Amino acid sequence: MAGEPGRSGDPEPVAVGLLPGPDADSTPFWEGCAACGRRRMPPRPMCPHCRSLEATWEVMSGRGRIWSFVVPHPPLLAAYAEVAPYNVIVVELDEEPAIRFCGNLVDTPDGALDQVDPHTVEIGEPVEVCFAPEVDGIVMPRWRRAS
Amino acid sequence: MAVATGQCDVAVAWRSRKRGAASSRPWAGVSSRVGGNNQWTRPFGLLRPVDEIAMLTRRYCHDYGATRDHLANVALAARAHANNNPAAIMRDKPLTREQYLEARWISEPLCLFDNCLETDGACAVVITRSDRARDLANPPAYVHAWAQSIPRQHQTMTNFFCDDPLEGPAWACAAKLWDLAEIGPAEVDVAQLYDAFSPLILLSLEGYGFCARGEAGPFSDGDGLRVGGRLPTNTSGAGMSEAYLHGFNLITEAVRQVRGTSTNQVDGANWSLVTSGEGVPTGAMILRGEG
Repeated sequence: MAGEPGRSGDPEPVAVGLLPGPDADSTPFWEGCAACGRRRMPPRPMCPHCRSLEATWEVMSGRGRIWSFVVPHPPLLAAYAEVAPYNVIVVELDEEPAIRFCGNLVDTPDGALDQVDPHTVEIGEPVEVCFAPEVDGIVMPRWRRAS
Repeated sequence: MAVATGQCDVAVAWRSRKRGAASSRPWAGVSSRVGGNNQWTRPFGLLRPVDEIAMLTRRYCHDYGATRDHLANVALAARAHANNNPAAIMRDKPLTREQYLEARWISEPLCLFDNCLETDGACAVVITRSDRARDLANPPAYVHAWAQSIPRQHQTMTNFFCDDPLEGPAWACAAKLWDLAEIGPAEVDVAQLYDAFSPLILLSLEGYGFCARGEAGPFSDGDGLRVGGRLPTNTSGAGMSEAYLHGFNLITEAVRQVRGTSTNQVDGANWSLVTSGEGVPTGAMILRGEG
């Protein structure tokens, strides 16, 4: 309650994990191209290099390397605390390493966040994108170790 | 700014935080759909500021060979200063390197003691013209130079989307600050560097030019960040060990240092740097004493 004094309880639990809330800039990514990326990330109206408002969608290889990763531990939102510790990775794309995506390393597209032992993850590992089953019209990009 | 442009003669700037109430915490009112910049990180479980900074930290350590011992240098220096500061929340709680290394993880590679405190508190500064300040009861701290900056491509806390994630807002701010100042980093006697997380100190030391890129870890070795060391840093204990008031208590400590009233006083401190956060749109200020 606003203004209520003192410490009272844990954060509000969220029953399921979080989903992106697409906006005008990001809708083509989440619902159109479905996540191979383009050379402006995150999507935004203007190119940070030449200030152009023009944009096209490019199909990329979906391959990259792990640039960094973290292993979160609780306290976390309930849906994430249940699977902690898990990995969160940042992937740099093969085509343009300065284009980076946040995501998770999994073995199967619908795998839980803790499917891969987070302590086996290494910077520089080659990965390739896969796509989780649609939830509420959203397809989430995920990453598997490249064969 | 209001004083300098004649809008007023005296200004009071203040900051208060009340994080004890559940309603004021970041997760209060969280929705299962996240928009804006957060849609690219939160759904994957990169939920908290500590997760975002841990991502940079892992890469920083990978690129430059920095270790948890270097992060511990930051945490232990702040705690040692706090142990000698009667106003610090952690005054009576010493911290050893062993305790640091054995502490629970929050977001690997960052542990509990890499994080700032959560504090209910407030502080304020009074700003007036130098001609009025001269005959006041306490010696003034002169605002010598200040700057605010945001680097190209930057969005809050997600430097890893920028071309060069390990050269963040501090670098952009430092360029403007040193351009405006009559001194350089070598003349700074004492620094208060925004410390929501310990790695921000290492990045800030590099960004503001106290050492070369990648060298902040060794810079912190020994008593590098303590009074008597290379650059006495966060001499009140700061956000990690005094109180976390979004950096405002770093300003009051920067003032105390040029007045000579800190409980961890740097002898003859005349040039005092205070910065805002590396990782967000930032600012920095150089205070000068009467020396």
